[in-house]
Amino acid sequence: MAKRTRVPTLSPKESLILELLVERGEMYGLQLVSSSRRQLKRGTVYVTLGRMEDKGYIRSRTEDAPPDAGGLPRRMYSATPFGERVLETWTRVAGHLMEAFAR
Amino acid sequence: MTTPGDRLLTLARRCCSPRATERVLGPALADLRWEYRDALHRGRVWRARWIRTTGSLTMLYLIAIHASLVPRGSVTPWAMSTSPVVPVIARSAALVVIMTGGLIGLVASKTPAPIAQRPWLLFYLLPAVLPVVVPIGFGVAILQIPGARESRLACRVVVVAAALSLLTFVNNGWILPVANQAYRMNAAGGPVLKGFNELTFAETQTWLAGARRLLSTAATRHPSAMALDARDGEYSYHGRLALSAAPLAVGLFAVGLSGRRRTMRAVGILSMLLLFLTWYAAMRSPVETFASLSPALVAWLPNLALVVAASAFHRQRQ
Repeated sequence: MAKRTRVPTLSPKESLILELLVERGEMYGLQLVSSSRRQLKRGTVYVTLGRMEDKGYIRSRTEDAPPDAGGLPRRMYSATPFGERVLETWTRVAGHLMEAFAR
Repeated sequence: MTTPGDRLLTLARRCCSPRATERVLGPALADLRWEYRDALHRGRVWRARWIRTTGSLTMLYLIAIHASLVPRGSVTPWAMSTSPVVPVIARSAALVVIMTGGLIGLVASKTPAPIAQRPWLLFYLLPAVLPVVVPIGFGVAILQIPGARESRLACRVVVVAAALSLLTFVNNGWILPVANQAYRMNAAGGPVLKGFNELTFAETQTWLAGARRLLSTAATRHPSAMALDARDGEYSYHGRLALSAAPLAVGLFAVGLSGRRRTMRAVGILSMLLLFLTWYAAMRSPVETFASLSPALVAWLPNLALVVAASAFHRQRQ
């Protein structure tokens, strides 16, 4: 039997995050929330980002905190080339589907 | 102002998996601190306070989810927290906590002296308040879960409702009387005679059987007073039994109503709330409120109304 390849999937929230990251470059969690015009929530954005990092759609790096910001490094997220490709394909497929169903 | 979230971070490290702390809670807290610092540097103190408050609430929400629902060391600690059920449970739990606090506060306001001296007495009131607020929170939760009407999920809802009913039955029959009596004795500072709500189910049944015997043989000097007492006893007994079945009735009602339009669900939630709170208030002085109705009928009326509505919804769907 031929080995099944896993098709990458993209939820609406993941798609929105990828769009923002591709469009505006590196961002941190709360920045994504404020840029999404209330479509992303503070309580779920970090878990979605964690899952997307696992899927390989985005990568993160830590930015050292200034001494008066409590010492915790801020995590900055950016889209990976794979993520960009997934978003591009996903948008194309969604466009084709819309066309097919509009007929 | 101090750096926000130090205690929350300690709590997160203690309760959640290292992975969740590193990938979810850490970044959330770091962003909160950076934004807080930026706001302070710009001289926007109130904005900074707002960021601190909302950020801390978000942190608490994340800690609650990762500490309670995700096993430590889980491979994907965020799998549960993006499920639509989790925010619903969190919101409903918050509703239950707020309503519990409100009802306890109401009772405390009526007996201010002992409560002010010994605030821990409020814990004795929990068994009386929880059977009222838990069905409401449960109903509100089901109405928000998408697809609760699907047969598999509906089955689970009924199982959870039955378990809640069983727990409430144990609470109302055995824990509530003991807690009520302990509260009364502590508040009075000495022994107090037990009322009907301070008798267990078995004790109430024994008392009612004795009262009926006395009334039927006219062996009491004050038959009308005894009859009133007996009605009070029956209200207490059936009221506690009916309240035990409330989670099941509410569960069936909410399953029937879920998946409908938002307005319809809102009307359903409001009716359910009104029904329960009115009933609960009326059951505080039942003899005056329902002079001509059978105690059992009065006690079971809200449950019957909910089950009839649930069956109507079910028939309409078919």
